[in-house]
Amino acid sequence: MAKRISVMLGAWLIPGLGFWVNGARKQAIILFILIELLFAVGLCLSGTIVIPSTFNPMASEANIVAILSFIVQFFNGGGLIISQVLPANETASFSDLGSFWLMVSSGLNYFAMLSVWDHFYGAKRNSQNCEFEQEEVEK
Amino acid sequence: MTHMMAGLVYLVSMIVLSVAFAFGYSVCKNPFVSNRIFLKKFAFRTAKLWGFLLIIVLFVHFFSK
Repeated sequence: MAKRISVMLGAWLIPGLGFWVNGARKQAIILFILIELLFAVGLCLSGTIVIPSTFNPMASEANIVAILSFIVQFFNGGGLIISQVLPANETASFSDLGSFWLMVSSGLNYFAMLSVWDHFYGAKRNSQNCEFEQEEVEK
Repeated sequence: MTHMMAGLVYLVSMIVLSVAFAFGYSVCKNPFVSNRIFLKKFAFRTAKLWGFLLIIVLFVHFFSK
């Protein structure tokens, strides 16, 4: 169980790592390039991940769109850390659009993580029509 | 930058993002057992996303006054 949790944490931090560890190397490389490319374009458009001041939707200063955006953007762990380190310019022309690119890359990583859990540890583990082209994993 | 140019950037972004998301989602959900099945599912998911975007655009066009 500890291995599974560490793999999922790794998949959260580095997109595609969950597939790589479980031998689906092709999917891992494709997902890593795709997710990081979307993230890089988002950064180039001055996109950033803003942590909301409050997570209580009933609070007077709450912004429900910002809270929901952050929940989706949270699923790209590496991107979240990078975007917090880099300087943000929220007044740039395409900052909103850039943040949307970051949100799509994070949403894709969320589905990649779910897929890793389903196909390798969860309900679809032994399913006949969900067999990945697994290369030999060194033991 | 004109409004036309900004609109074009948004439009191109939405098209690229929808195709990229449909492709990534298909990679997650459908292993490369058969390229034909993969491409079929990828095309279907892209079409679904574009349909969804079209509904939003039409909704905004007709109901935003």
